[in-house]
Amino acid sequence: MKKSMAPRLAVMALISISPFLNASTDQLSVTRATWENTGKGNTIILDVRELLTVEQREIVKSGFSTFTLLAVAENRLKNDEAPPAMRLVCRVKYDTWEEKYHTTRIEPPPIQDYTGTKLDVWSKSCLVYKISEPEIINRLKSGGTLYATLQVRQSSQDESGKIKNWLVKQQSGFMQGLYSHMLGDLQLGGKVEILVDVPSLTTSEKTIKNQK
Amino acid sequence: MANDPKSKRALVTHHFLWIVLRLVSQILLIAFTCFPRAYAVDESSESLPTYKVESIEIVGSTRLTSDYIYEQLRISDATVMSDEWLSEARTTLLGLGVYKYVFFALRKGSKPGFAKLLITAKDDESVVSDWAAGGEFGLSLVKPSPDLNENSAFRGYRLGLVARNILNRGHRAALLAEIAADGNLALGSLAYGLPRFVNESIQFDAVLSVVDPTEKYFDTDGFGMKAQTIWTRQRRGFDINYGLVWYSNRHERYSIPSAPQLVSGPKIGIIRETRLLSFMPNNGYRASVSLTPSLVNRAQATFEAELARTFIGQDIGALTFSGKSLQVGRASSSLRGEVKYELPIVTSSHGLRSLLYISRRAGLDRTALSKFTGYETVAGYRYHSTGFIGDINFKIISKNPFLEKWQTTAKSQFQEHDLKPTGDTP
Repeated sequence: MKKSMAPRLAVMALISISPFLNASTDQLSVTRATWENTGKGNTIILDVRELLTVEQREIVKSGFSTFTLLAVAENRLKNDEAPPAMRLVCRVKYDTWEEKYHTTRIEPPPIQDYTGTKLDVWSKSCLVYKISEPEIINRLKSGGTLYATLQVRQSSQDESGKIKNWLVKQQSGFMQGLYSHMLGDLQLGGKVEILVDVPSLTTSEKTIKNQK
Repeated sequence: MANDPKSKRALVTHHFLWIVLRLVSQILLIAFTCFPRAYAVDESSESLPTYKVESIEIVGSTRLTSDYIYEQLRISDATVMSDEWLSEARTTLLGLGVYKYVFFALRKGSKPGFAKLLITAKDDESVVSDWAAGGEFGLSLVKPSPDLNENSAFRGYRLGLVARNILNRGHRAALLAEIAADGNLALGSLAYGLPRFVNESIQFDAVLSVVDPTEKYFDTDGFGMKAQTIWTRQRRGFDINYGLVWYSNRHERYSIPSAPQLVSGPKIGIIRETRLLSFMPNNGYRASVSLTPSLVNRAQATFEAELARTFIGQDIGALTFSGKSLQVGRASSSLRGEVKYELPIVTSSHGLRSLLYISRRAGLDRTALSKFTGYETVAGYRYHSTGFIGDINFKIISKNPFLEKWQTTAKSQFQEHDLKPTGDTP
């Protein structure tokens, strides 16, 4: 339990955004979800692997632990809002000598570890979300929109506060205007906002049949 | 199978545990979202590999030299680049105030256990050039109190320069000058700070300032000229400062009449500041006290205190209350108070940012011979664009005791010499 909670708690702190340090630059992307019948029922597949930015790839391959959060909601997510229940939370670390990605999927439970030499090891398990909740499936049968955010960060909320405190102390109280120009928008990571178009189930089935 | 009591019990237990786990998870989620700084964050990567630094390459910015970054990050051959080290390193570099973004990445080293460190830095665009410099231009239009004649209305010009990375090594300096309509210096301030001593967590600043009370009464506190050389040491959230000060009222123009002429000697004080005094107001407070036992006259020991509090409301602006006092011995004191409201009117991720402000300031000076009071209201517009701040303000009402005193004195001198002041109708 202790082992499983620590990374989760770290991520909880990581994903909340400070009002002072606007910790990320938002980009807006659009993607289309797909329907899949798994035998147990219909599932909406949200695959955002293609939306991964160059910057985010760089962060994942940095060689330091990187936390990633893919959050999905039926309403648009606000910066200061707690992440929704539909989320994939992972930690990935690239071993520069062995050239391997060590991925830990933290949420949803159970915690799972994956290791491999390709980025897919991480992206397949952390950037593809499957929605199978019957209520949501029913609501989106005739199509609709979902909202998602993808955050890839090396830093935590705790760090944003530390940087601010560090700057405050350097003012020294004597030097007038030393930080008077600072706008308070340091960037600590990359975040992408994603608008997800969910096609109607019937349209999707027709498309699949035509493709066959 | 479904009717088996054991299976039913197991199912109920499973559901119960699932609900409890879910509940605990949600409570923790809310707690950590609301109070993220109250808890330590465990980001240790346990069994994951870490490397020692083989070499460092810095790309994207020329503001700081490699040597200076080595010094700041305290990198040695034995430094292990763990996630904890990364957190400290990024805080240190961003905390220098010259970068907007720093990104650390490792590349494969030439032997096992070592890696090459690549630092990508992006300049903070709120200041310009490698010296991280900024400028400020201001214009003040002053409407004096009704009992003064119209010719006493004047304009003031303000020029400010600030740099926090002089010589690409973190030297800091600030210059501020306000020129009155008569061409004289109404307010001047020159400050210089050595690069921060990282290991000792100490910094050194020297400040020289002059204020003409006839023009800028509310910017004086007890003295017209001040010089300070101060060391600031950080201790558990408080800054302890100590150094030497020289406060003077000896200059004819930059002096408070009948106030103590000179205070000089060692100063020791304590400051607690939680606000970053950046372009946009920040929530927090400042509290400081200091003592200067005068070497010139022991009866002129000087005590200074300051309190300020800024409240920020969501989309309704910021309100700041501040007050400071300076007491010299028993006979002389100076009090200043201000209430300021700031309203950001443009906020975007790029380009112009600006705010409207209005403030009410009051002052009280008491000396052995007399007592002065004054107050003013200032409304202004302030904007920021690529390293420069523009400020235009209008002082709606002004009661400056020294300006009135100066006018009275001037009039009496004119009358004594049988002259008629320009524009003064009999």
